[in-house]
Amino acid sequence: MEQRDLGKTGLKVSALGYGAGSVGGLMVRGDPAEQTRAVARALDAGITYFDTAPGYGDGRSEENLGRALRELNAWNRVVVGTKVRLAPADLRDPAGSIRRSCLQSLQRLGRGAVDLLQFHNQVVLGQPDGGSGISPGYLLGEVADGLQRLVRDGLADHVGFTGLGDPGALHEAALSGRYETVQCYFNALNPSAGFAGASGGGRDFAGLIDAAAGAGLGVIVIRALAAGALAAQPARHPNAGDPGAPLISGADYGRDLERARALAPLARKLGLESPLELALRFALSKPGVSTVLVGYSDLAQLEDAVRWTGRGPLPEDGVLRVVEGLREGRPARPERSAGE
Amino acid sequence: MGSIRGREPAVSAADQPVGPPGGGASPALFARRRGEGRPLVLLHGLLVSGELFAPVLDALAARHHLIVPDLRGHGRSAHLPGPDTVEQLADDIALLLDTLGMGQADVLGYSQGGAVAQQFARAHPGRVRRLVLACTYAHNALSPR
Repeated sequence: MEQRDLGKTGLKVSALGYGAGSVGGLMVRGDPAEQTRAVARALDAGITYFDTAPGYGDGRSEENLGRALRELNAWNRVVVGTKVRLAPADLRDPAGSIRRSCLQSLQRLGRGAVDLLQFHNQVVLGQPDGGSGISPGYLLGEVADGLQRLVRDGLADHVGFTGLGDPGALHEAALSGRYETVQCYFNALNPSAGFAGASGGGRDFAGLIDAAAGAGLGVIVIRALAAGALAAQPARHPNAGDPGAPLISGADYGRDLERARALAPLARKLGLESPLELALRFALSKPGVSTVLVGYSDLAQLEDAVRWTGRGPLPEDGVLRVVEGLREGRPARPERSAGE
Repeated sequence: MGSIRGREPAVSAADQPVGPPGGGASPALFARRRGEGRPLVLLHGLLVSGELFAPVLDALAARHHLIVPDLRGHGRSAHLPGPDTVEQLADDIALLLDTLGMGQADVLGYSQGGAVAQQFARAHPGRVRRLVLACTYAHNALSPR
């Protein structure tokens, strides 16, 4: 497994990351023995980055990941990232709320400190509307101060933010010098974080990955498989969670599912097993990406992802075919006309 | 170098008793705090105090949040009761971090401070991010065994 620099943190992370979120669901709803087997298999395959958050299964993901890594005596071999999400009521005391959330995460993980703590809220312009969005000024001010305080106190080694929300504000945050990593929404249905303008009709992240990587940030790709929509099958695994509300505009799950089906012919033409292989290797091929998170419902899905990752980045021709159709809001065209 | 109860250094706002090692009512361990960044604990050797590190504090504080205690029985913590075993001195550091609301830190131990640092890493492995052992040894000069 390829190990990549996580920006300038000094940490190395595997190209394929282990997502312990609610959507895949194994680390939230799975059987504990299978959870441990999956983490063991991930370690064996060379996966070194593990992603969790307090919100995944109301703390269960952190508890289960912490337990599995402890049982496998693997904590000293991995990089673990968790997150903090502020509720509107927390905004009165952001630093205190961030610290409390971090201490609770550490208790669930069973650790004295975490490698990476990422701010989880979306960044929105204007006055917060009572939702979970926070303003850019807040992200770069009180939130960044609160996170840096935890670094100073040895509770978190590195801090990052989540690249969802207003693209201009996200670019500003990436260049601010206050954060060391960013989670970027990037997939074969909307790769605009890596190919400005290629948003498939959704939100245009305007090359956030390039801007962040250029500024020395570690880039963690999220939703590489569009919450499973890129499986292009309506049936979901029993451990899988609800894909939830769209993380970005124009990414409704039903619509993503439909557009993912249009990738199947291209995947076949490129000799790939499935649109999922296409999507994963597409994400892995983007320069500047440190790790691509995939969430798992069971061990078999992990085996698939490891196998596909082992085949390397998608060839450039495949990447271009995926991207070319998305600039005008169309799904990728499966075939080129003769003589093209 | 200061002696065990020798030279009285100037005390800044950042230099405060921050104990309490061993319980709420007992007197506090004295520690200096400087700088911003990832935390680094500096542990001095036998018969000196945290003043040992005075010449390098500014340089290190440019990149680290420094915590520089006077170990129990030394310097401004000289009044704290014994035993000054390496185990006690190491546990004092864990209590110091607890009191400061801190998680883990890089720990540098010089001379006898290195023995304390090693014991700290043994007894509290979750609190040590990186261990730096300088001019030290793997036994306890205070209570040899």
